[in-house]
Amino acid sequence: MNAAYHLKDVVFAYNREPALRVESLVIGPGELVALYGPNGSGKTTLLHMLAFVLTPQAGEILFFREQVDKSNLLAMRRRIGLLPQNPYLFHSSVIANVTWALRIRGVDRSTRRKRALQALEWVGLPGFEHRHARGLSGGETQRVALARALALEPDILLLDEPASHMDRSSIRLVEEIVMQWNRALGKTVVFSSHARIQEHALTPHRTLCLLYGRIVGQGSENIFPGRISDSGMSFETEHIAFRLSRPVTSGDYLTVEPSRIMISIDIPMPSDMVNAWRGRIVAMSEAGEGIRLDVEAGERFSVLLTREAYDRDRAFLGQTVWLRVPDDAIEVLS
Amino acid sequence: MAGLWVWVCALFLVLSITPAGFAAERLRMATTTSTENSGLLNVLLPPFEKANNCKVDVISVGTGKALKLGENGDVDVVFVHSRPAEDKFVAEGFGVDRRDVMHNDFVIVGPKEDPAGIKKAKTAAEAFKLVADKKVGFISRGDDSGTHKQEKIIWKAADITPSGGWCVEAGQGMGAVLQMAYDKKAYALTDRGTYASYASKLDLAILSEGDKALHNAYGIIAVNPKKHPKANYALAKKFIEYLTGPEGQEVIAGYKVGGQQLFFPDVIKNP
Amino acid sequence: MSFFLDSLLAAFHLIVGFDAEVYLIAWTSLKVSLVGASLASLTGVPLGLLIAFTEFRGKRGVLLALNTLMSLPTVVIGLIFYGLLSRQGPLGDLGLLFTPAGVSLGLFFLALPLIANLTIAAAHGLDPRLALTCRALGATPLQQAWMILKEARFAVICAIAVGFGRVISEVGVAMMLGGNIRGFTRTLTTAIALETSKGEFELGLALGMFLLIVAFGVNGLLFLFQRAK
Repeated sequence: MNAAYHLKDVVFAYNREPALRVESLVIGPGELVALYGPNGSGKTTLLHMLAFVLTPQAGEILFFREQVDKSNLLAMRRRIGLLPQNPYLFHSSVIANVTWALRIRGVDRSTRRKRALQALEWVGLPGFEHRHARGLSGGETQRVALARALALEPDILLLDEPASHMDRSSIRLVEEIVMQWNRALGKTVVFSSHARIQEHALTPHRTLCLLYGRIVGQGSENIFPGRISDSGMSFETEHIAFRLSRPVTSGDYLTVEPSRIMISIDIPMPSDMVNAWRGRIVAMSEAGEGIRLDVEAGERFSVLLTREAYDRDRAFLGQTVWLRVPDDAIEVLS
Repeated sequence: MAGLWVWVCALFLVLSITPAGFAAERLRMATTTSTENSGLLNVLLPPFEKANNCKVDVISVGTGKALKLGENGDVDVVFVHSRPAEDKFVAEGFGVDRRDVMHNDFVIVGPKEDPAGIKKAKTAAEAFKLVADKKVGFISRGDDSGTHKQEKIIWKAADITPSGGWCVEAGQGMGAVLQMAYDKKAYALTDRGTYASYASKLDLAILSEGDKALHNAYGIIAVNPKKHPKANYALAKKFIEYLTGPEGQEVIAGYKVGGQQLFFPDVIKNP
Repeated sequence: MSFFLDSLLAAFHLIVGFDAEVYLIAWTSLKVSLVGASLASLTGVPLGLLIAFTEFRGKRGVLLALNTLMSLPTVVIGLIFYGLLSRQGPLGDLGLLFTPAGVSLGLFFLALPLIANLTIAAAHGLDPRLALTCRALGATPLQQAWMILKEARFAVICAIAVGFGRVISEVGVAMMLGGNIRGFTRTLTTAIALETSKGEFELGLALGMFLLIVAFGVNGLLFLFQRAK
């Protein structure tokens, strides 16, 4: 496969304190990937590494099969559009901000202008080109920064917490652009969020969960903080308790693989009542080949159903269902 | 923005091509502040510059520093007034062709009331002694200039080492010292030329003059080309010839400030 | 009171009188200061950026040295360069002593630590996200430096103005390396010193006012730069 990214045994440390350690990560071309994890889990570090603005101390990164090193770093960097979490705009006009990166790439003046105006229209800021960048609101700043990235027509779009500084309508707009960019143009998009993925309209093909600088589950969106109790036989979150099949001595987080969760309309057999909760379907969306359900059952679970399972159960929004988590879908992390 | 840059670059170009000076040859002369401040050089130099198509760069400092510049070969000729120091300069091989050019005299000035009563002193040393006895205030140049060297000679003759609050070492030029003497109602040793140009501004009177010890002779010395091959010895020699020749001597004799002659040529007799 | 009034009048006469000598002195001042300050800016600003944005062994030492050099008296710089430029000194063959170029050289070293230091301060005052943004947008180190310079232009131009102010107003270097040669290396400051020593206080103050007018012109130009865009 012609992977967009292939990371092998990559390590990045700040002052010898490892901030990120990725044994293996492959991101396919055209993939829409979500990075999920609490603050300080290494999302930004990973995104900056994918943008080639941070160089790992160990390991290697293949970018479209090419080894990234000092000699081609700049060329690789120029194929990427990064929207930082808290973007910085230069002290000049909006248009100068959007065209600068094109100018340093040697794009001629008229093309620069055309692409910049187009990008500003995409992000819903037509007519903003002569405004001073330093007089914009937080949401507008974020959108100009996105326009700056989009105008480069990058192969990869990386967005760090795109929703963190924006109002609702801006978030919606950005998410629509990203979806379109990914679907219509087939560009690879990676975005991070500390909020629950379910709160986004974006439906990623894949979700990577980061904890303490490690990818702890690919596809795991169900990640619940809590603590061990019952001499290692239970894990208590704020609202519910999981029964563990094996005693565990320590753990701060519990993850549940979304595709392994079972849904049924009828009450399960008493023998299956371990780790089973009654809940309500609060959201439904397409996710690649399958269907994603969000079920509120004390904690909010994300459930991935195959199309066949969905057709069989005929789940609908607002429906009350039983949700059962098998032992092998649970992982306790510390 | 771009327009401004072009503008500034153009300005720079103009600056950089502006020639430093137009004359082909330059003669560097270190001289004393009293010579330059008297205004004599403004009439003395142009005829020479014109005749030799050159430019005389005048660096006016104290006699001590002027000789130092000559020692280091940073000037081509020195024009100073301190015979012992000049002789030492020549004896040590730094200078050649020393010639007497002109003289005037030092005078001791002070407040008109003459609180130390030096008017009745017969010699300069006696006058200094009176000043020291009464401790009425004396402003010394204190800058190793020719005048300062002369002060020291007179103090030595009076057998006094001036010390104490009444003797102020100014460390400045002649003009500043006169200004201080006026402000502090103190005495000072000055060359007659500088005093003449200040007489109208400051209420100071000449209280002692005429003593042999107050003779102020100006000599010119070329920097030794054997020590400093890069020194412009040829032009220095021409300049010495000019100053001690009839043309230069007449300019010196004819220079007057406020109707008073400031310098007396040594080679020709005063007309 | 008449002292200041007389000085003001004398300054007025100097300026409108178009006295060739006074204008030559002002021109010499402007020339040596502009050359000295510009060279110091062209080297001090990049040097400051380099020091600010790179980590190296002994960086603290360099910063301390630059801070200390700012306190160097102008006469001492004059003496150091006199030693270098004197015919007996190592650079004596250049024949720069008692020339405007020699003065400019001394002024260059006078302004260099000042401009470098203020540029470092300007760079430290910048948003840390700026460098990241430049890199993420695919800037080469040179393009990045240029953008940093543009973002910091207020502070950097201020640094240059301070450097220029220091060199045009100093007298030690100009006196020591220029020799106050009439019609050649006499600058406004050495002329002020000379007139003051002659007791021509009014003329000295008038020349000081002329110097302010020259400085005003240069700062006005810098101000335009600062405002541009």
